[in-house]
Amino acid sequence: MNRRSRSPASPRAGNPGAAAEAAQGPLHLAWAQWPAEARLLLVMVAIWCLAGLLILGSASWWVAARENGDPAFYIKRQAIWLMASWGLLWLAMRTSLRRWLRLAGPAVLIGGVLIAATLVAGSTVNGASRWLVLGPIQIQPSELVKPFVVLQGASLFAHWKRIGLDQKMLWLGTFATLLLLILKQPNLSTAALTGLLLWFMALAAGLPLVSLLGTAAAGGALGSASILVNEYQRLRVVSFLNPWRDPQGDGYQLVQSLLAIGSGGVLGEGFGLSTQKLQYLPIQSTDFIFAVFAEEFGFVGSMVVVLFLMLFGFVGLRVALGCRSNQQRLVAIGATTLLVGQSILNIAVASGSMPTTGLPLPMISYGGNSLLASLLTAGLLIRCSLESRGLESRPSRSRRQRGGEARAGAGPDPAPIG
Amino acid sequence: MRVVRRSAKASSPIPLHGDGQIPSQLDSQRSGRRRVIQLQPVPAGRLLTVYLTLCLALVGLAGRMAWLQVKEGDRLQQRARAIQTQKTKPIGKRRPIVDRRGRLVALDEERFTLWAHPRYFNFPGDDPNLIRTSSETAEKLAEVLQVPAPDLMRTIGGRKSGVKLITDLDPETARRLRELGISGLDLEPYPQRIYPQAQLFANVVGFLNLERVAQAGLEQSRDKDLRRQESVRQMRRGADGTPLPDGLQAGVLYTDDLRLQLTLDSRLQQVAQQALAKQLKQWKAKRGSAMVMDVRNGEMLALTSSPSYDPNNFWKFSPGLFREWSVQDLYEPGSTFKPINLAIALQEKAIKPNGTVNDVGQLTIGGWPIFNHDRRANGILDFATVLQVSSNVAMVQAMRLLKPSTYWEWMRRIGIDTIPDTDLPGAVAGELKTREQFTTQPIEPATAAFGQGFSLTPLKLLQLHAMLANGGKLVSPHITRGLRSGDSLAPAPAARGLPLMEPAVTKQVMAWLETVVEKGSGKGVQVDGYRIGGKTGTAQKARNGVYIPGARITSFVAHLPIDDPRYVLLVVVDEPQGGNAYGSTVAVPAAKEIIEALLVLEKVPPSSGKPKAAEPTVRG
Repeated sequence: MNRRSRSPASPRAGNPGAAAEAAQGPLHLAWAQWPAEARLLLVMVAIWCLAGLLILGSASWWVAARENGDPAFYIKRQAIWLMASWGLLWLAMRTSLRRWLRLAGPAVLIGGVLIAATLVAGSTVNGASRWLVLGPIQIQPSELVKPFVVLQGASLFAHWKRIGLDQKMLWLGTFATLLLLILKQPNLSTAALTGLLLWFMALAAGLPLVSLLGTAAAGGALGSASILVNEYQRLRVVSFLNPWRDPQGDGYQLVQSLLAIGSGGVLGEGFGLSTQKLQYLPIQSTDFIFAVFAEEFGFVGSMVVVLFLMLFGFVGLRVALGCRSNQQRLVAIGATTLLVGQSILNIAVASGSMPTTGLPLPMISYGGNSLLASLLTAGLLIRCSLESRGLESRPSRSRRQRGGEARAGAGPDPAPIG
Repeated sequence: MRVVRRSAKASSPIPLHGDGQIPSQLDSQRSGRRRVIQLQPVPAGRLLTVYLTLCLALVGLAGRMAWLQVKEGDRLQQRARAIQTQKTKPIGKRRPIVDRRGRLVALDEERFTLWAHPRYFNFPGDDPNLIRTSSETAEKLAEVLQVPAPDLMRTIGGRKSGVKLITDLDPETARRLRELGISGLDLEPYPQRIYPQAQLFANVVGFLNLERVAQAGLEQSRDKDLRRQESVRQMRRGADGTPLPDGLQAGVLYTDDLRLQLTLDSRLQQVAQQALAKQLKQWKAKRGSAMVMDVRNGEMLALTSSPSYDPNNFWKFSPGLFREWSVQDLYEPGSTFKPINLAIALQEKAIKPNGTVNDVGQLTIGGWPIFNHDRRANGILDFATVLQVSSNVAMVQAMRLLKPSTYWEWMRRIGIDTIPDTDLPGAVAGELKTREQFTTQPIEPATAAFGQGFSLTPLKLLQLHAMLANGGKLVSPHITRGLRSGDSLAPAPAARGLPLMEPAVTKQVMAWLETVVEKGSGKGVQVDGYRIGGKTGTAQKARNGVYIPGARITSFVAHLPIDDPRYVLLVVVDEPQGGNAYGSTVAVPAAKEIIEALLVLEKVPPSSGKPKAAEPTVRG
């Protein structure tokens, strides 16, 4: 991060503060010059990932030993995915937000097509076809499309009043189609999360409250309709309201999760000492990993997580407030909402505050797609912070003319390499 | 709009830099027309609103976690522990009994009682509130239970709950019942004692009645040792059943796999029982008993009596059969006691090994006449011949050389009237006249000299002959080796016993006994290559001091091999019918069969120096 370019800095007019660092190294800023928020975010994401790996290790060790013969089965794979995901985070921090925003539109469309493909050729797990199998890798398009929804949402809402009705309709229509496709998988949780994300971004963008409330009502109606139409969702809602009615049947997952969380008590059983993870709690490595954590670390641990999420949200808010453009602001608040909001939904499900849905806990649950999406989102957030400090996004035109990154630093007018 | 724009400028002090200045793709197409409202910055208030909403949700979660982990924590933990902890209640299985070589003699098997609760009848996949009719359920059960459905319906008889449908289900049927998954059925396990060898060990092992209370034999006498020390177990487990080390109670992982091992050999037992049964049938005898003992340590290798009973169906037999008479009933041993008397006289030096007595054929002692069994006079006899011809008169003459008080002391010392130290259930002491009677009335020591006038159990007689065979030590006859876990077997205990006589004395008596088999009444048990000693006996039976005419008890005792005595064998047959019913004709043939089997089973090498030593031609 503190690699320095050989060529001298070339300050740009009107940006004296950040100009000195603008041309340095791949990220153009020495670590010392990074905004406090960016540094804090990077450290927090690192802690989050590391803690996630440990929690996943504890949650999956026994089951992996039983089912795969290798206790480290899950954490080995998760570590590999983590490395790939940190590469993506690195890329997100290096690439200018402008490029990401330009990518967003096509990415959302491709994502939509892939989600549609899952309906036709997806592999079905637990009655839901969310996966596309490509050789050894399983792709979950609904997971991967989320960061691009943030970006495209930022593009759409940043200048809501300035864009034409056709553009609005085009993209709102695209988003609505996306949500319906995800619902059709069926994956109510991701659909709800994506919908909520867009709604919060629209709220942040300052859209009229009336239309927002109207949309919320429509969304709520859609959700209710989905619950009424889909048997499995209705059962989950019913069992959520009173899981103890059928603790061996529909309420089983939630009851086991509640027992795990409650067993933790105030101080917890201690790291690695959860009993519920020993095949009592189903899907303990993904959807219900928080229950294992809460059993092992107790109320104290749960509060640490809640405070950590609040702090993360606060840093994200500060980044958003510090951004100079609407897009940046919305990307920042959108990325924050996505990471914190998804965590909230996962914990709410595990603690029985919400009907059981299959959302992973970002950076903690097992799964490469989730990791890639989460760390890309975190990378975008950090990029926003960096750009707020004057790391500039130059028009792509000038970059193309200059041709190639390698010589960028040596030119007469060195631009940041995006 | 202008106001908003100004405030936006204020919030971004470095203007016109970054995306804000350059319209995005979306706006750029329309920027020409709508420049006035081009810059409408995102309001900070809305960002804050979003953040506060997230915070509100997090606070809500914190509250939820506080409720679950602090307020409800204990209750939920208890519920979780209740699911994770597995309690195992013992069903009261008894320890198995095995023979000398580990073959099962008695064991517990799990059986099931099927209870039906028609008010809960529900099939898998049904609506949880649906109640199936009894006939529907009976149809399904009939297939598995192999019982006609109408019979089941009759048993249910309209009752709603707690119907004891069927008992004595084996584990396989129980498993198939469970697989039906019908609600409202309850399988209650209970143990059932099984005796795979049926009547073979019934006389010593006994049985449990239907309430599982021990009624006879070892089951009764060693009830405490056969009961498992089991308590309710509690163990935390993973959902797959793996026990967790956390909070483990002491001794929870201990499984009681102890088995009570007998000294009896079921194959020898089998041979003995068949040989005995054959003789009983041939002589129409009332009952019989055959025993084999290891003289070095008192272990019984066979202890069988006939008739016996099947402990698996004990209710079909007369309760009179449930006691082992060879251990619990007294009889007058007769001639088989003569070698014991000679050993006592030798030990007291009242007679000399090479001495002689004059058999005059008839004596009158204290007014009572005493004859030989054939009423013939044999003249001057050495003691070997006394035993060969089993002369009563000669025995009386010999024992007269011993002071009656010394004789009586010896009868006490060898334990005629004490309960033998044995683990055999119900062993009783013999009967001996009082010291006063014995010393003042000459007829008492005289009749005792040929084994009448006192009584003992066949077991006691065997013990005394073992003393002759092992060099003068009184060993404890026993049939249990002890408790061993798993498949391991207890080793044979070392030789032991209470020394009473000098080895030289008993060796002399053994030499005399060998001649009985060589040329006396015991010829019938000769086996090529083996030196065997023995003594026949035919005693009159007495009841209330009066001899019963024609009621005899015939017996044969054998010692082998003479050069290194290891086994004594006693065959007693009670009340054989027929004029020719003697120890040599009734008991000896059975003894011969048992000896042949014993030599093979115990791998006894042929006696050295025995001229006829050939390969053992034993038919087991």
